[in-house]
Formats: sequence, C-alpha cells, structure tokens
Amino acid sequence: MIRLVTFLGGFYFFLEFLLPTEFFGFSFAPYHEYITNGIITVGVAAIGLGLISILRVHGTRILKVSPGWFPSTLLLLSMFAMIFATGNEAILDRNDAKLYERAALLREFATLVAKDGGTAELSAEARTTIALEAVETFIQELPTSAEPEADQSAFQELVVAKTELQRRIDSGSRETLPGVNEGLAQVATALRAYKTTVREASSNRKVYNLLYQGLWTALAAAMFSLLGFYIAAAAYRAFRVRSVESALMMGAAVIVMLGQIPFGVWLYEGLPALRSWFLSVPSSAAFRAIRLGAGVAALLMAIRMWLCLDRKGGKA
Amino acid sequence: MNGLEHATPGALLLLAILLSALFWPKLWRYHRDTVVLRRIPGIDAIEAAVARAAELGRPASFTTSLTALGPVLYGSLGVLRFVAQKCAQYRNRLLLPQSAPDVMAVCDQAVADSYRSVGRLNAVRPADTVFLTDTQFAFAAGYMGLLQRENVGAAFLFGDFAAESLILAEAGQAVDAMQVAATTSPEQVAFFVCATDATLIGEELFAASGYLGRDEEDMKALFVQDRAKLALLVLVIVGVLLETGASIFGYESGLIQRGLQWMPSFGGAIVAS
Repeated sequence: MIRLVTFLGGFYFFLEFLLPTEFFGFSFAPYHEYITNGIITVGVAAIGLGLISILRVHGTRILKVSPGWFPSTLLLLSMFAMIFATGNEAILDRNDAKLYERAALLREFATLVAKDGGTAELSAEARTTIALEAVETFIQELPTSAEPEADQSAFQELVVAKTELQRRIDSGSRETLPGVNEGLAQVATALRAYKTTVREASSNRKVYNLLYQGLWTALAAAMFSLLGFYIAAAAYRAFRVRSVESALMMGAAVIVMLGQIPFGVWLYEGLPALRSWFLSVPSSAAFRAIRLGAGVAALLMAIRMWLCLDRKGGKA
Repeated sequence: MNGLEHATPGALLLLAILLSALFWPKLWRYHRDTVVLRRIPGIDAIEAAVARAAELGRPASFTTSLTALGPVLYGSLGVLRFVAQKCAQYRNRLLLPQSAPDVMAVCDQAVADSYRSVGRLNAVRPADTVFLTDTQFAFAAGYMGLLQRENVGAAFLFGDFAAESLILAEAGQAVDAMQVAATTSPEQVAFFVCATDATLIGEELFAASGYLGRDEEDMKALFVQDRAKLALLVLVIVGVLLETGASIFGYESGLIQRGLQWMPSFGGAIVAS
C-alpha cells in the first residue's frame, strides 16, 4: 500500500512537471492548487501535534522536576508568551485591516458616484446622500480620544484629517465627492500612522519585541558572528603548507584575498583581474562539476525513492 | 516544444538512460563484478571514526543538519545505517541531533533497523535522538552544546548545509572529535575541507552507501550514474564544439544553428534535474 501511494504521488508530480498547464484543452492548474493546498493543510495540522508533543515532553519534565526542568520551564513560558503576543497582534491587525478596507471601499464608492451619477434604481442625489452618510458613520467609528501610550502628534493629525473630512461632507453635494475622496485618503493615512504608534507602544508589542528582536534576533546574530572567528581559525589550519595541494590552495587563496582588497591593487594592479579569473574559471568549473555529479546522483536517488527501489529509511 | 513544458529532448533522454539502466541493466552491459569502486579516503574514514570513538569510550554523533526529506537525505541514510550498525556492534552510543520531525522519524527508523540487523535492538536509546530546532543558527547552537556536553568522539555531518556548516565542524574540532563530512553544496565543501578530517564531495555522498554496504541496488545506481554522466560529458563536448564552430564559421551555418537550437533543451533538462 505504501509503495502504491508513493508511486502514485510521485507519478502525479512527475506528470505535473512534464505536462503543460493546458493539455488537450484541459487546464489542470485549479486542481493542482487544491492538491497543493491539501498538502499544506496536512502540514499545518502537524503544528497542533507539535504543540501537544512539546507540552507532553516538557510538561512531564517540569512536573517530575527531572534534569533540565528549568530550561523546559523557560521554553514553555516563552512559547506561551509568543503565542499570546503574536495571536493578539494578529487579532488587532485584522480589526485595523477592516477599517482600512472600509476607507478604501468608501473611496471607491465616492469615485463611482462622482463619475456615473445615478442608476436606474437610484438618483444621483440619493446615491450621494448614501455615500456621505456612510462616510459619516465611518468617521464616528474612528478613535475620539488618544490612547495614553500613543504618539499625541499622530492623534492630532488624525483629528485634523477627520475635521477636514467632516467639513467636506457637510457641504453635502455631489460636486464635493472628489474632495471627500481625498479627505478619506488623508484620514486613512493618518489613521494608519496613529495605529502604528499605538501598536508600537503597546505592552503586547513590547513582549514581542523583547522575545523576538531582543532575544531571538540578537542570539541568531551572535551565532552568525561566530563564523568570522571560525573562518580565521579554519583558514589557519588549512593554509599550513604541508603538501603540494595545500601550497596550491594557499597560493590561490592569497591571490583571491589580496585581489579583493585595495591593498592588493597597491601591490599589483592586475590582482583583481587575476582574482576574477580564479573565481570565474577554475573555481566555477569545479563548482559546476560538483553540481552536475550531485544533480545526476540526486535525480537517480529520487527515481529510486519514487519506484521504491530503495528502503534505507526502514522496511516499508 | 509544441506546448510541452519540461518534456524536452534532454529531459527525456536523461530519463530514458536512467530508467533503462535501472530496469534493464544488461542493456548497458551491467554486471556486479564489473563495477569497480574506487577507494575514497573519506569513506574509509567513516569506519575509522566510529572505531576511534568506541576506543575512547565517547559517543558518536550523526547529523543531517537542516536537510529536508529528499534524495540527499536518502543518500545519507545508507551511511547512517552503517554507522548505527557499527555503534551497535561496538556497544557505543549514537547521538542524532535533529531539525525536522519527519526527518527525525525516518532517521529513528533507520537506526532501529540497523540495531535490529545486528541483534541489538534493545540497545537503542530513544533519548539519544534529540530534536533541537528547525532554525539554522539555533540548531548550530544546540549542536555545539550537545557535542560539548556529551564529549563526542566522532561526528558525521552528511547532507545539505549552509552557513552553519563551519560552526558545526568547529564544534567537533573543539572537542577533538574525528569528523567526516559530506555535502552536495559546493560552497560548503571548502569549510569542511578546512575543518574536518575527511570530506566527501558532491556525488561521493551518494556513492558512500554503495561503497559501505555493497547493496545490489546501490551498485546498480552507481553504474547508472556513471553512464548518465558519460552522456552528459558527451553533451558538454558537443556543446563546446558547436560554440567553437560558431565562433569560427559564424552562427548562420545550418548545422551549427540547428545544433545550438537543440542544446538549451538538453541543458535545461540537466539544470532542472
């Protein structure tokens, strides 16, 4: 059964790779999207399993006070803090997006009314009134007072934009609709700026920033920066001339390194060109040979996996 | 190509060579005894490294780093099975730092099978398969910590690697572990050459399991690989001759023009593969 499913799955993707998007007038693209979405869905379900697994493994360790209970506690605390912070952020984002979307829709409607006038069912005046009333309702839903942690100047800009929009609505004619449209754009921009300041100053964002920017990014950068020291240490070991090959390697490396820096040009102006030749001719040829050989071997391994000729992962 | 997207002559030719050699090896005069495996110092070092770790009474470790399920991982599994069998025979621990749940399940199964094959299934220690993380540098940090804490005597780095390669290799150096690395990423080969005791380059990763296990399917695969590479070599030479001819006689010459029109489809197939 496993072999059959593997073969059919492989056969599907094999054909998907070979056949055109439209084959004898039949377009497979929409179905392919369904299938790939299905695969993604299965993957997403694994997140839930992962959460359960983490809670089981680390929860047991904490409850039994087994060795490593303290890092496990930190892990679970960080996980819940991050889930809370990002979940909350997503909800706020969705609420804000609804407001921006409404502003965009209202602008679209105002443009349409200004351009087309009335329809068979509704006169131009009636449509204008509906548009202006909708804009007025939108204004009423906007924040009326600044949140304590927000940037006050951003709120003032929103108030100015709101007042200006209200003034344009109050004139109440179809001719003012382009002005209302412009006012809506200003309100949307000011609202976005204000919401950004509110969000940046929120305790939710502070938790997120502390964990992600303050810890995660900084720790990853620290690990990456270790590479600089490791490269120096590895280069020292590699460049000790003990054989003809290591002498060749060192010679090539010295030329490439000197060709990369201004000091090299000062020594000999042909060094950058020599460096480029080393990288684009011998080095590039070696890279291609490795890629070609590995590519053929990988293709063959893929075929063996597809046809279940290889069972190194365990007996199926 | 008349609407067909990747079904170029190159792709079909490559596929025909690979499939015909896999299913009708006699068509290509395959015989197990005629396949000569060249000695590769890196592969010989694998057994030496496991034995050294056992002698020192220190565990061995095998990582595929961030390699996802795919041909490279399956190529590495042959070596993992060999290393696990040897560890089981020498009654030594084998640590498996992991970065992906699906890969972890496959590696776990391969190790269990290997221990079972030498009659030591009860010696498998599930706690030695450690899930670290799927994030590059966090994985590197976890791996460094693991090697330091467990004082690993032999470290095997097989698979696809990126910027973390040197960090992993230096972690092994720091605990004086004998290290064997194999990667298909040309950019990382230089780092491994500098920082490990033996390095398998590119396709040698796939050849290693055939060399170690002498399994019929592996031997056949090595044979097929060679024939496919021969076909590619011929294509490269034809391409070079056509381009050289074009630079001498001009691109308008009928034969050269036709040849050069066909070449990209072959080249495209190779790149796609």
